[in-house]
Amino acid sequence: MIVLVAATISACGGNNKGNNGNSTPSSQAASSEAPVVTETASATASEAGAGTDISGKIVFATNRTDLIDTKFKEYAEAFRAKYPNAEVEFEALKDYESAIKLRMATAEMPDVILIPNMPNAQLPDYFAELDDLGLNDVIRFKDYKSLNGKVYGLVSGGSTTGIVYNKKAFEKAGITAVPKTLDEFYAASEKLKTAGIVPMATNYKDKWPLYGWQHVAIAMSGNPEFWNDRLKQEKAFEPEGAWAKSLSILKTIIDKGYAEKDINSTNWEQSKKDVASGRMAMYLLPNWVIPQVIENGAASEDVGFFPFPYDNSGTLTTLLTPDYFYAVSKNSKNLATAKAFVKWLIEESGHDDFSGFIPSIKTKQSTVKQLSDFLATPGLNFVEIAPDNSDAMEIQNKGQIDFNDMAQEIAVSDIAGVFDKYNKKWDEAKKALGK
Amino acid sequence: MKTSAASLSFKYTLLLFASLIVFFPLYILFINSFKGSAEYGSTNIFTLPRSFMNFENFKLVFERAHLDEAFLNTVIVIGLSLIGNILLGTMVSYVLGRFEFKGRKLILGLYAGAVVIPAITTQVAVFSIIRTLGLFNTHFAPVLLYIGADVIQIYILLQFIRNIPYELDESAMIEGVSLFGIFYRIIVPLLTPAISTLIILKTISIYNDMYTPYLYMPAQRLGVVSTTLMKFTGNNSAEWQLISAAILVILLPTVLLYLFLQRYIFSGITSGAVK
Amino acid sequence: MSYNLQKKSLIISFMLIPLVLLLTFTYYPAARLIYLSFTSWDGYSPVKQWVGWDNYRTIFANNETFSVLLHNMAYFAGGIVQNVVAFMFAVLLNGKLKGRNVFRTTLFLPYIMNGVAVAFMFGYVFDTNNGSLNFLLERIGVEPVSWLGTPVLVNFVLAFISAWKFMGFNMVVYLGALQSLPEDVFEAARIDGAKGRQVLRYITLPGLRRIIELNLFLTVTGALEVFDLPFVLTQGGPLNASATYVQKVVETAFHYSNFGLASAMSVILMLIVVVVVSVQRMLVLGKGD
Repeated sequence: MIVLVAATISACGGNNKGNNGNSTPSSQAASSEAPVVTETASATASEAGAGTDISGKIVFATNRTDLIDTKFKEYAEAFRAKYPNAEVEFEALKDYESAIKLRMATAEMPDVILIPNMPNAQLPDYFAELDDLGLNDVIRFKDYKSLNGKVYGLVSGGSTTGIVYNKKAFEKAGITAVPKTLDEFYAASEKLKTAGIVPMATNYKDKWPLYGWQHVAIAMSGNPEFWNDRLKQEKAFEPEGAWAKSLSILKTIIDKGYAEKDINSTNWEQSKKDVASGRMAMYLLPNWVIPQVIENGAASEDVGFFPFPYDNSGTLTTLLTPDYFYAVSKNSKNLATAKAFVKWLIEESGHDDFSGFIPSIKTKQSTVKQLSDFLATPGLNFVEIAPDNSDAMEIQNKGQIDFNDMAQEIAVSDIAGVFDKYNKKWDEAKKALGK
Repeated sequence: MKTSAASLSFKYTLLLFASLIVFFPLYILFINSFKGSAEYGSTNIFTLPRSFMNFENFKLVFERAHLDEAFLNTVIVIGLSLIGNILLGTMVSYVLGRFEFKGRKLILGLYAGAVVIPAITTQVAVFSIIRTLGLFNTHFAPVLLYIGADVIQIYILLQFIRNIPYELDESAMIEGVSLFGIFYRIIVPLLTPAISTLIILKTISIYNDMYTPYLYMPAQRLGVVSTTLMKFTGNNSAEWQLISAAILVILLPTVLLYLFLQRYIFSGITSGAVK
Repeated sequence: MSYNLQKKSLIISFMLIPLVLLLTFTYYPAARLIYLSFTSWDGYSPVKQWVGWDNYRTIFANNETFSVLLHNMAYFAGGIVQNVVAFMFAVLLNGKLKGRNVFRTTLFLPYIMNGVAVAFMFGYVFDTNNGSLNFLLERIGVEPVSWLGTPVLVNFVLAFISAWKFMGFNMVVYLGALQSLPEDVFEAARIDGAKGRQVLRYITLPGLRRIIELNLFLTVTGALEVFDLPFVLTQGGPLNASATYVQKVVETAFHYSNFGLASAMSVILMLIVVVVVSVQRMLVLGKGD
């Protein structure tokens, strides 16, 4: 009668779209390596690293409720084929962050989990070290979930944000080359609009899909510590800074009618179909959306992916961000098996490719052609995002600041006003915490 | 009061209009659940499906959701919960309805007050208890949370008990029947209509509760029907025809149960108040 | 055993388990909630730092917390309408009417449906571009409306869905109460020449006071604690226009990892409910007496 049901459906497409996980600073300089093709780690190597007694049942908590009866079942079987005495079960947690924190609070944690948004200082309280898996030299984002030189989380895959587009729609609008500058981008949008195609699916109403604009801002700044540096700045959100510039592009897109006709009634799931069919042309989102567009009816060769030209300089920079990190509960009864499973997920499951991620292993090349082409774009610079500073994260949580809220708000009011409001929130929270 | 033809037709218009509003969204679901993916894309939402014999979506829902297993788990949880819930509910109501004692008002207040407590933020403590009892990921976790009576149940039962003449108790006492005997042989049988109402309502509410099983028995083999819906969101949720089928499959058991047993629901709620 | 002794032992043995359950799963967690509201707990780590009244001060210093209660008001308004409509149909169906069982069954039907499934279902009704409602409206020449995307509309649309689901329940409760009213009083009133409206005002409504109170109690608590509808359909959007109080609590607890503050918000919610219910009790009971 009294409806107090925590409906456990959220509109996520299965990726980590909240704030990026926070952690103590262990900055990683901008790296600009393009992935090189090499063979993946061999099966023998992985067995040596994980010890001998791989048996017993382990539970893996995942946010992909839609996969546990399909793809994950195959993983369980494949893992069992390799370790006949081991068994993997899955727990699909929709609304993942809340559910997993509750389980952490009550020490009822599954053996293998995806690390939720939490400070790195707390990692050793919950998770086992993963240094003995022998992946430290080859894995991306190695220091992102580490403390005092020990690694507690291994990345499930990486992402980079750019324009995912329907080539047929571009063709129809008479766009012959992908835009290399912002002006070219606007010109292309105008052509699309004239051709009766919605140039860009912003998914404004669903809010989380606006997170790509954060990535544009960081790429634009070239600073992996972009958000952490708010601590040092006089104004946390500088009205002339990269974040403001990035949002002003979004505002221009909305104001000029390059976004959905009614931004208040966008529909994320429907947008994938529309981009696939060419009714809409572009997304500003990471690579993981590519397989989803294809799944919704586009031919793979009709889907393209290019770096977002956020200014007219002609130089292109893109941001690399990690997705969820796998971790093993330190209280796992089958620790060796849990670790072996993480290693197997990273090295052999192919889950990163399936999800359209940049592979966790640096030397492995993505089988998603659009992604590998994107990463091989001549002259493209890369910024690898730094882990979040815990002070910055604490202030942000205390002030209840959500970047996507900011992105939403600039559409209906002016950037200066929005930034003022959030600077005030930040300052108050900072003061309250005595930072 | 004479009912004029005008007022009668006005009444029917209102009732028909309300019924239309009830059935409208269901009708849309129904016709679209029989469409294939391509068919759904090419027809408008009101077009009837090419064939009402196209059970593809339903088949897919059954396969992907392991509905056989889910139904079994649901039945186990509902069965165990009902036994405890009805037993405890009638006991509480008998005591509260028949005896005056110190603390009676307080207990009634506690049951009413429980409604005020927001369950979402107390879940951390509840979860700890379930874990301490070692019931996490077992059927008993939700069962334990369901067997406690709620204020509505007690309210309905109390209404009924008040309407059972106290003379029945008195004459039984004269014959030397124990109080437990009175409860067991007189009160409970007379409560049957209310109990059947509560059984149905409780069954429906447990069946529909997605949150408790999701939180307290998330293991795959313990899936229940209500959590099935989650499997059809995410990447599939643009497949409206599939979701329509999933929603219908989830709604169907309660709707059927309701249609067959609705007589008992209403008799419980309505005659409960009859003196 | 004397009846007195029997009575005592029966009360104790019958009440023991139910009370233990009630205290363990409802009141202990509530007490815990109050304790946590005085800490800065993040919701998962073992450290729970005592911060005194800080969380409460934060809430009262920040108007935003209470401004979302305005969104809950839409559900309250919807709930009142829902009760009036329910009462009207109860009166209608209490009279002699052909097919009244069919109508009663129909109108109660939504109540037995899975809430999340209902939310999804209405997502397809109110969708701007592909929804069935706009499709119908377009046929009669009305421009598509962004039902769930317009800040001034969204809460009322959600409240409508809530009313759609719960109206039947209120109706059946009223119906039950109506049937329990002694027939002879109506008879007497009619003989005295009372009009329909007078009967309603002087006999029916006073006779139903307790049941009206129960329904209003459920409506108020329901309105203040709405969570799943906006959570499934709008995630609080657009621009937070449909965020409800409980949703803010959940967000504070899990998204912003401030369980202490969220607990304080929950405690305040409990107090609000108690106050509103007491006021309402005074109003409802205060009248006719």
